[in-house]
Amino acid sequence: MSFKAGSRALLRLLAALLFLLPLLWMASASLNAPGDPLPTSLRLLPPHPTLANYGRIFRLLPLGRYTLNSLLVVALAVPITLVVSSWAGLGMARLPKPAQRRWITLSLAVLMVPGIALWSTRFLLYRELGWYDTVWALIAPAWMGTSPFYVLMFYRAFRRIPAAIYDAAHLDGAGVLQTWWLVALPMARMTAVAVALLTFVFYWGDFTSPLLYLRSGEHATLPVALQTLQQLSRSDWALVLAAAVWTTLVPVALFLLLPLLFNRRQKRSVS
Amino acid sequence: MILHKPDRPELLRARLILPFFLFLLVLAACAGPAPTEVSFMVFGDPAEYNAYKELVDTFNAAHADVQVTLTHVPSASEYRTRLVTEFAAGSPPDISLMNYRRFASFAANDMLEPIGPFLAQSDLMGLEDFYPAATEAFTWQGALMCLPQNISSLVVYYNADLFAAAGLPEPPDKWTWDDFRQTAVALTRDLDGDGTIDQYGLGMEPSLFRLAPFVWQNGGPLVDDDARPTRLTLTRPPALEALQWFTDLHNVYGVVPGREAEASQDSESRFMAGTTAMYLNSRRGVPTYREIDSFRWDVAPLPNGRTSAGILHSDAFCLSRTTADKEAAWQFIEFANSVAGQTILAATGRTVPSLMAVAESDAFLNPGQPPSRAQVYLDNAPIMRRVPIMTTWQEIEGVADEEIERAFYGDIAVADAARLATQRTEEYFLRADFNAP
Amino acid sequence: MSNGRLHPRLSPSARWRLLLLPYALGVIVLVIVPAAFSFALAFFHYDALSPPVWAGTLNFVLAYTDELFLLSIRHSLALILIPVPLRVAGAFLLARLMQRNGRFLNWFRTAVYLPSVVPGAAFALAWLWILNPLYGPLNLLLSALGFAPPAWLVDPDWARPALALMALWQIGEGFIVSLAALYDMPAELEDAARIDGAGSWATLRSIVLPLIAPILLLLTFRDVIFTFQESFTQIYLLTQGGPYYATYTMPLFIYEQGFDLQAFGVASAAMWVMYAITGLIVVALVVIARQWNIGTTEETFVL
Repeated sequence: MSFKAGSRALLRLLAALLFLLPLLWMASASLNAPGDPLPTSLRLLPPHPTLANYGRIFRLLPLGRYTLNSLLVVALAVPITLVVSSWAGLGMARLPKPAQRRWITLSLAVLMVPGIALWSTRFLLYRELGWYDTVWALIAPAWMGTSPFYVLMFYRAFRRIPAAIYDAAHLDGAGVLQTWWLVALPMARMTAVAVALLTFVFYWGDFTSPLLYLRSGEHATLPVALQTLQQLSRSDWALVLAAAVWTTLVPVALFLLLPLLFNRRQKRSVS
Repeated sequence: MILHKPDRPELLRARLILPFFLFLLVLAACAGPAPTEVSFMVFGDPAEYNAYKELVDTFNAAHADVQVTLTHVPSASEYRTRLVTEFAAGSPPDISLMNYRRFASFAANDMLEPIGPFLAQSDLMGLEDFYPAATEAFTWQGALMCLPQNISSLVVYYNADLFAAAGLPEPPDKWTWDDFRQTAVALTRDLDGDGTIDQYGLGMEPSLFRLAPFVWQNGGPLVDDDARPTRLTLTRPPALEALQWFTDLHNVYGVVPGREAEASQDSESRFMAGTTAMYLNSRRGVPTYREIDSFRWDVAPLPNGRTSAGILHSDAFCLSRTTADKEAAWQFIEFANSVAGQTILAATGRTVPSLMAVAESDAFLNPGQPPSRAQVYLDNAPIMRRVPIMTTWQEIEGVADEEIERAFYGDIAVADAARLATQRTEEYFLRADFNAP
Repeated sequence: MSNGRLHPRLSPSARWRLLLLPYALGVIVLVIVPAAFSFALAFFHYDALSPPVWAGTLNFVLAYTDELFLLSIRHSLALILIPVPLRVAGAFLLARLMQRNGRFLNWFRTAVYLPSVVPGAAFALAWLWILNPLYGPLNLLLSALGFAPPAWLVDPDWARPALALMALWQIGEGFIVSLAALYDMPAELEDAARIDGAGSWATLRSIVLPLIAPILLLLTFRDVIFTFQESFTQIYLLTQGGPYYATYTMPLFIYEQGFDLQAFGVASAAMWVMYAITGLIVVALVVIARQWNIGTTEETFVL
């Protein structure tokens, strides 16, 4: 290996380790045995590493219910977002040029609206609709594709499909929905996967919606459970971090497994 | 669309549905009316939550027609935001536990149903059975708004084993500011000689609410008029001296953790871990402290300055005006504050009961669990004072706390903190509604 | 059997437009109407309990004369001015580092992106521990290396740098976008430069950067908006705006006015200002881009 390639490999390794460091620290601290003193010198693992805190968080809070609530939210929000944003992206891509520019400008303007401008009036809106303290308040943004950014991502992907392909589909008698499902979406698979992942991460980690639009513990999701736990056990760091690790497990697992899933589908479609 | 005949099994199923529903209706009618659901919201640590859970479970078991559901918010300061949001959403809890420092804005905005009339008609107890200090704290412009559950006060929790290890006698029933400070100094030690303090003599929050009793003990008022205050009087010499003494505990004598240490591990956790000898708190901490099994602990009264003074801590059951079935909700409130209910709560350690009969009973004074010196709380009753009851008091505390904390950790001089606190809180006094009409 | 036609009478282009309907409806109901209502509230007194009362421009005056408001603007801008360029530059340089093939490349890329997958609340609490002044691993590391570690989130001078530090780990999105842009670049250009003897630094400056600039501009744009408007969760969990307002930003001011003090009118006035500042920053970015001849048409979004 040349010097250049070698030093590049070393730099990459260092960068990777640097980025993993906070996660390692978080996981390591969660293994501290309850009652053990806090560390006074740098260490990789606590002296008596234990998974006891992971059991404690379930006893202290109904964390199982909160996890199911979070799963329900993403199970609803991700498909709805994919449908709405890919429809919009495709619709935009098929418009004449001037109209496309208008929709882009609109999307950018909407993107710039501060989220907090919407908090209190959405609160009033959900109250009128009867969505207050229900899961519908948590997934509401999915009905507009969650973010104009995802619409623009699909727009970008669909615009790169040559017009000839759309025309061919039209000649074959395919309607709009069929074109979307059978022609456009498969060609934007990577974008769809990216949007799905980003959407999942967004709703899984959404803190302000449950904070503002839920009241009872019944529908609470993991992020507010984290806040509750932090307020209950302010200095019990291992406990709080165990809950943080638990909250992180699902998106991280999904993220790590996704390429594997993706590769398998590729192989199948190729063969 | 081609219609086709349903298959035989489907038809059979369809034919069964109607009778099934009729059967359900009959069953429902026979079961009698559904119980009224009453929602009850509290704040506090898990141990406090469990105390109320016990109360609610006992009530539910004995009443088939009224069932109480308990919800819980861990942080007392966020509690008001939650309540306001729920009132704004039109679905507040039927009963909420409120602190006397925070209930005024709800009363002023007509969100509470006065509890006085219900109490007057009760067979179980009357107004005269409660400590006056507690019921006065929840009277708004002449009407009793909420029913107080407790008459707690600020006391000193101490680690008896650490006192013994240092060869010090446990705090007496009467001690002075100097005694207190010297004790704290003696108990602040660097145990392993590495230059950092491992054991602190004292832990407390640097807040206006903690400072207030010391201001009163030094002869100073906290505000210029107790009934209709217009400003804080922290800049006057008695209050200023008290603030100086208060902040010297950190800046001069170092008996409390510094800002970094406090942020790394808060004083209450240190007390429970056995590395802080004394901790200032109200009765609220007892259910959690009863989980301590590594050392013996007890309570002592606050030290006395020029005079003795305590500060009222009190929470009450408040009934929302929008509650559908107020009689049902009152049933629970009545139970919770009857001798039976207050005995249950007293046994959990959470309250210093507001019913004189229960406070003077063994359930509170000799429960067989720490603290053994429970009389300390009752001794405070005659000398305790309260902060003004006004709609913007929580904001005033919030702003004053910021400046007091800065002076406590040495960021600014005491005189500047007093001046800033006074200036910054003026607008809240101007905007306020008061208890006195 | 239906053939996917939504309606037999509509023309093809109208049918394509129908696809935009859910998005358009959603935007109107969930964004435009609430935002318009919010902005209108700026001219009323409203506390969510009694009906709104007309206040004219009073709320703007109240906000303008509130020193906390001006402070929140200053702090918001401070959290953008230096950290955002650092993040975009960091994302780009990392992408450049991980552009060419190599062993374990996918693992390294995954590692860089991983912190961005961690939910915001969990990430904030993890850093609350990492930045713990006495027992947190960062300060233990700094002490071991011989430095006197700062108190981070409890020190008014170090609280904002602490937030900026934490934000550096979540550049995953920018990293991926930069990677994609680098890949879309025609490889022949770089090869030609290398054959001509240009060093990697010169190649970067004169060939790669100009081509990548539109994407970097977009990333900066998005990062500014994100930091300015969406940093609420982490500040709320970590410092609540403290210590002594060191991390008090506009979102916190608005939240406090709205949900703590029930002054929704003042909160809305502050939102006007926030939106205006965002607009100004965007315009500034576009002007800078024009100066440097970076493409700013919708081509930017297609590349």
